[in-house]
Amino acid sequence: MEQFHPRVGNQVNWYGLWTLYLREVTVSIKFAGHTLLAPMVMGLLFLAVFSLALGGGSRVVSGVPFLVFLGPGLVMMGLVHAAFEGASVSILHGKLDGTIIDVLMPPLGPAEFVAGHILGGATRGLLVATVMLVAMQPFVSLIPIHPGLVLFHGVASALVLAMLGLIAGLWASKWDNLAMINNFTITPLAFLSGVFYSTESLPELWRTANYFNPFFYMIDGFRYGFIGRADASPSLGVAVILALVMVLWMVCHRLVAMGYKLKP
Amino acid sequence: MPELSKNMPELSKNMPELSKNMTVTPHPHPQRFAAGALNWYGAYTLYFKEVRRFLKVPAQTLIAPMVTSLLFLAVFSLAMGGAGRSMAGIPLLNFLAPGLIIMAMMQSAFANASSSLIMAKIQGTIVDLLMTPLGSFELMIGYVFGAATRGLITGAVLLLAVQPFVSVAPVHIGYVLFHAVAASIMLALLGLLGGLWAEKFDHISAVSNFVITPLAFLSGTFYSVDRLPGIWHGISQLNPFFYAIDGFRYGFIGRADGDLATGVIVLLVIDLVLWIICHRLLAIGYKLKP
Repeated sequence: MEQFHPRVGNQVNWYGLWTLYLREVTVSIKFAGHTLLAPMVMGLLFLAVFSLALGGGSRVVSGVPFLVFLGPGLVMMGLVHAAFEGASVSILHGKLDGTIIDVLMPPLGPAEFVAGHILGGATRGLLVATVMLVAMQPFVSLIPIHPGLVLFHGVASALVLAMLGLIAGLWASKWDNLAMINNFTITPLAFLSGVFYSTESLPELWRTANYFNPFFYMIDGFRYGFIGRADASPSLGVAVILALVMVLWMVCHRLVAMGYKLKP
Repeated sequence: MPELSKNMPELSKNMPELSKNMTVTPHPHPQRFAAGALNWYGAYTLYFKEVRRFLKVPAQTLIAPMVTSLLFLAVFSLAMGGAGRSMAGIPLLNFLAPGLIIMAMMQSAFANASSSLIMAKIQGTIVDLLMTPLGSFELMIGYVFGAATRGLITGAVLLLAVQPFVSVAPVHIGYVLFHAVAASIMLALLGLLGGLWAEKFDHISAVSNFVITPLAFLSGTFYSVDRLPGIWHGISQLNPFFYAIDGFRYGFIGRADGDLATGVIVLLVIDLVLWIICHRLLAIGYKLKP
């Protein structure tokens, strides 16, 4: 029998990475009703509630009609939830069903493991965002002014949330844990990050607190790409998000490399 | 394990003898468990099990809806210009709070009945219920009142939780109680129906995402339907959730969008019809028995 060779150098198992990624994306598409349509309906409901009933159509926030202000925020909220859910559910499901072994046994290193999962989660987030953007067009016209910034914030935020999801999935040992993280951290942070209002209308203390909320930069920057106006400096937002991506990547990589809650 | 398998051959060797010596005397006539007209004890046990089930995970069942509702309260008041604004002649927060409370109650009641049933079906523990001397009426009592209890407890928790931000107190306590109970039961019945019909969790979340949430969102939780343009105003009147929210809110602010008597009748009729449907489905074992 031939000897097994460890991988040499920094080669990447592209084929394995692609396969893992494809598996993650297939899950998202296979359950499109739950993964894509549900967030879309939720986004449209928020839009409807605000515009039909609260007289949102005539209000002006940050110099633009309220719906134009609200639209990008709702899209971003859908995106962050989807990316987080994509990565976290995939890991926890694997752990609970025992199918995680199918990802641990193949020749996939920690980098490939992390990359496959977070790119899969991020893709779900971006799919949701695209679907939501298209679905909102009949009600509010959202055209990017700075497509580069829209793209950057979309992709980078999806990655950040997918990595947070990966960490949460690794840490959680049952569904309750995941639901708790979702209910008590992700949802409040996303809700209070300025999706529904300009932070300029907030009292001083709240506004300062917002600068410590990473979701604020994601939504603010993403919206800047659409309306050309932001509450915080866009370059600060880009820097914060890039730093987050790097730090979280290292954390994820380290956790997976040491097999945190994955290997006995 | 090795020990067990070591003993196994011996065991199986003894088996024929064992069965030969065993005198099987089947009961001549399987009798209905003598519990009277209604197996109260069994129904109570099932009810108690349903309540214990959600009390065991309060973070998910009570605290999470509370946080979500408080977030809605914060976001809507901030986004809509806060305390200065008013809706239907009363301050926005006083208008919003009752709507948010009953929306959370309804969603909790639905979630409890549907998830309990689908979990039992998927894990196979439903057989523990079908085997027991519980008729469909007793099953209904356990499931529906268990779920409605969760709705009511959620409502009570929320009512306390919103007090620091907005002072809401019932004006017409009878209306508050009636609508709280009727709406919780309505959603518990819908949850039971959903749980019976669903074959996997996806089905339940589809019902929740595409039916319950839209109906709850568009029923006047966040706004007075008087503000709606013509056709939407008419459509709202066809939404049973609207009557639940409107009547419940009337109990707090003394002002309703729709006709209260109509609302009471609609809720009673819907509860009754759903109860009969669920009872029938349980009796024929719809998707429960092979």
